[in-house]
Amino acid sequence: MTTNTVSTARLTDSKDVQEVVAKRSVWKDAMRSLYRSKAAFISAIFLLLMVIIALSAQWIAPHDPQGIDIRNRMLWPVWTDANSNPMYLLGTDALGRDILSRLIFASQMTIVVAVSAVIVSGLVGVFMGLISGFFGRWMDAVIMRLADLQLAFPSLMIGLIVMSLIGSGVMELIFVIALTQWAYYARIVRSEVIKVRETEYVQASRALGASNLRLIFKHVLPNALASMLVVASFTLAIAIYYEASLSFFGLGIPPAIPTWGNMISDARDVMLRNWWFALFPGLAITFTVLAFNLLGDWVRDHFDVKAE
Amino acid sequence: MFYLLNRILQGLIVIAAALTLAFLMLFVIGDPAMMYVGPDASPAVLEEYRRNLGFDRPMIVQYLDFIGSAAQGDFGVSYRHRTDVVPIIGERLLRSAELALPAMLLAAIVSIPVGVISAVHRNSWIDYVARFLALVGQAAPNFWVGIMAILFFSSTLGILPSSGRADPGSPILEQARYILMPMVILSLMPMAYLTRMMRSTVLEVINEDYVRTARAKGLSEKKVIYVHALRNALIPYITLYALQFGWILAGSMVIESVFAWPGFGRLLMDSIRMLDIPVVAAGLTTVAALYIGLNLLADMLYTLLDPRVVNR
Repeated sequence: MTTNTVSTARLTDSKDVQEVVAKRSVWKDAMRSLYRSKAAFISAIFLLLMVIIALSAQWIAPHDPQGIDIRNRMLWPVWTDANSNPMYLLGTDALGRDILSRLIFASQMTIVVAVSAVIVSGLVGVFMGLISGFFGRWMDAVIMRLADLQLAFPSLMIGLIVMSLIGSGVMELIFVIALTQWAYYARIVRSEVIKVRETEYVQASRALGASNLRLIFKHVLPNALASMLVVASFTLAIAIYYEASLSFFGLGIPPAIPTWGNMISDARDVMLRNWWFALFPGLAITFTVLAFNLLGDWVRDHFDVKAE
Repeated sequence: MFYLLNRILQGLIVIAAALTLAFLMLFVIGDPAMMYVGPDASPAVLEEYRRNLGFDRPMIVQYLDFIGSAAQGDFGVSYRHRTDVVPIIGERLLRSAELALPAMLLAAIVSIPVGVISAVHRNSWIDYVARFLALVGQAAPNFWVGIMAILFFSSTLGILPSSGRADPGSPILEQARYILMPMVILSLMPMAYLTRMMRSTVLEVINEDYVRTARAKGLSEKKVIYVHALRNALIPYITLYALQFGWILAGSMVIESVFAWPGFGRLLMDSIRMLDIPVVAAGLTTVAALYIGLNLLADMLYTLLDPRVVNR
């Protein structure tokens, strides 16, 4: 769902930049273009801050995220000034746990799930794509039909069904997200293999005795990298979205672990008038997904990747 | 023609695969006869049921029987409802359509004009607001938006019912009050996506030669945009629009659960959680068939609308 449109404005911008600074390194070039694209730059800063907060949660969080304080239950956020306590900035939940601290600690799980999902789906996808592209014939047919089959169902639905069959858990969730995403990487790598195999310089290098492995690491993967980066940034967004959705329905991360999805799920039973239980975790999800989407748009524009 | 046949064949293969998965699911979660009679039944009763339901036959026979009956629209009996699966699914699909069809209509009504205005007045404040809202609409989890809407419109303002569906006999206006909130929230995701697509296709089309020609021959700007540019931009839009119905299927699982709407999505969700596998099997097959049908429809629309795309 997070396939996005190419912003033509930025596309031309980045091309100009590329021409002007043709001699600069790819890295410097990318940084400059990122800085120029306001939305992507702000997103990058936001995500960087989030990672820092998640890594230093123990020192930053004002309270124990699991610390129950019955005397301070259901406190309002400070600025609403109705039955609030300045010790608890964003208020407390039904058990008196500090909402801000839970938000901060939940970001750890969000990052773990999202990054692992990208790594697993990327590795599986690259592997399948390489097999498909190099061996061809029936291997190719089987793998590509498998990908078609998987893309023939709404991926959130696959997630819900598989999670209810195998049970909830962190590993299970990562597996399920990877299951719904690997096909995109496989398709990219496969088409890159087929494209590269036909080129003259590769045929020449093969004639000189270059191995498949060399071919993969020298030609296929570097060429597929930009496309895979685009997919990866959208996978990150989708992973966060799915973690929240599945956890909300009790099928994701076990409820004892604070995650943004679980916080909204907890809020569901008691929220009647306690809007802040659900508001803040929802905002956290929205902004994080938004940031990854914007960053993905920028990667696509900057590297001029064609939408598939 | 060959292309179309090929696509239909591919679709049938996917449906057959979905059926196979569904069949395997029947056995993965445990003894299917046990699911009918419950864990407390005596071994004799269990054995009797197993024979009556045909679960004592060889797997391959059961498999072929399952595929054969499914092809005739028979998916067996629901563990939970104790009635035939297919009529339940049919009824729930109609209820889902009460939300899904107005939601898709709303998505079109909003996304087309907003996308065009956004593209024509590129980088104006209207464009920025529209793009920002579309981005947020794609990023905000729909179950959360649903909850916040219930909090605001039902708990705080008390103007809309928080969940459920009105009595079928009640006046139209009363029924509409129940439909309004889940319908609007269901439409947000396709609306956001389609608005962005509309904007970018109009931006592409505006630079085409025929639009320049239309301007050059002195047509009014309105005519250039709404007759020449829009009509061409609508071709990819309609294709994507058909595909968004597929997303609505997944979205309605979430939204119908949040709003306790007795539709297909909620049925599927409840059946998955309660491991009512016959319903899940039929539901999965329905989804696969709908999805493939929509994809085919989108393809056909595309070739129909754009004569430049020749039948491969």
